[in-house]
Amino acid sequence: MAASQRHIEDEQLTAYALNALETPERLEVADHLAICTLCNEALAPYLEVTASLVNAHQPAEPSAGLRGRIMGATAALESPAVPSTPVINLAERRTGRSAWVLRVAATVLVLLTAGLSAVLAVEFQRVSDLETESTQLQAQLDDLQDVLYFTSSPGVTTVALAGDLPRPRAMLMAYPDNDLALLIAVNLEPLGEGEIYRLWLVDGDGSRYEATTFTPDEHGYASVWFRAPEVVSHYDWVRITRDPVASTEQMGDAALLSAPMEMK
Amino acid sequence: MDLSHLDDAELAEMVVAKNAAALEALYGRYGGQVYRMAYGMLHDSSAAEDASQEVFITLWLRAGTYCPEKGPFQNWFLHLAHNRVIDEFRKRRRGDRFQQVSDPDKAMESLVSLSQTGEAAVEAVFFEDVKVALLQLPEAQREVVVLAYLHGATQQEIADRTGTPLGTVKTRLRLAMIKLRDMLPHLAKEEV
Repeated sequence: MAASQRHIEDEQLTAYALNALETPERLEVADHLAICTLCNEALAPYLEVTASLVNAHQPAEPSAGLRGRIMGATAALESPAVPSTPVINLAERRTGRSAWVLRVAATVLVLLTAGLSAVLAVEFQRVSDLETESTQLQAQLDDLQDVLYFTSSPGVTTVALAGDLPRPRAMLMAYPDNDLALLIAVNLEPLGEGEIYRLWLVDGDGSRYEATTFTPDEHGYASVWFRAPEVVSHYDWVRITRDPVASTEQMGDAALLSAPMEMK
Repeated sequence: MDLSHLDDAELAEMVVAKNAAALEALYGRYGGQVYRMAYGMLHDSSAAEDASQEVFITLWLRAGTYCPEKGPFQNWFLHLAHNRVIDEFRKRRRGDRFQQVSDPDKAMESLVSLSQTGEAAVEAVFFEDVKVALLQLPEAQREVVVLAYLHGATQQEIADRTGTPLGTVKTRLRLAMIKLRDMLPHLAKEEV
């Protein structure tokens, strides 16, 4: 039996719950947990232990500014085009210059202080931005590792979707006898206002099921995990459409990408 | 926007749709726990805030991986949070190794800190029922839990550090978690 299909031993589950596994083993366990209800049920009480430990730390309070920092960082992730570096207009501060030497000296001092503050503010912001970017990259790396482990697992079958347009392509990956699947799409066109991509599963009698919706990134790339109502091999076709967000549950006739589900 | 009537899973779903108010609501519910855990492990308020920020950014980016069928959001999220704080802890530990080369006093201080796996560490970090439960564990089992949970050590690292066979470490960790499971689970629900 493939590693990802073998149930996880209790010793691994307890270590996983405490984050005490080496990275490759942790990913292997996570890969199996993504598809196994039994092991998730066995893991649940140990996750409660970890949660209890987290909940029982001695009192300590973060600064009042932490909430704002977090919300600012996430907002920056969603609006990369918005300049996040504070701008301090030194020219405005210079309007206080006068002929009085003392005032000039004081002004120079203020300018120096303000200049230093500006430099420090820029540097702090730059470090903060780098930390945010690092976390974002780590999350993307985690995603890619999940994908890699899944796609390289024995027994995972791939269905390639194609359409009339030459560039957009997609792949659906799943264990035929499981309801969990991964869709990866590339070169998708950017969506207009109020639009979304939908993934449909179509079974033998023509019944259509909206498996998931997704939005590609700025490079036209999307990867999305979803669970089907039945095991994936139950369905005959997989299709991707581009629809208004508020459209009904009926699939339109024109599929952007489609393929027969040849994994039975 | 008042989202207090929504449960965690509903808020997580909104975070997937990039609803900042939902993330802020989850911060309101769990920000304190995450920070206290980070502070308990890192012993530095600035580092604890950085780690907390990373935890919530990770939630922002990966809330879609939460699956309500697999259990309560709290357990999934606090496990993720602990994982992220351990990452930060390990990063700092790698930094300490460089420091140890040039600063023997720092190295000794670090080793003393890492050796605090017994009652002192438990007394210093935890409170009430969890502290009592941890102190009830046999010393060898408490040691592996504290090294893994508080010091971010993997099973292999615990084996190397304590000179104990890896199989023994795994067994001790499992036995300790089973005992804690029998003593603790009610706490996670009470603290929501």
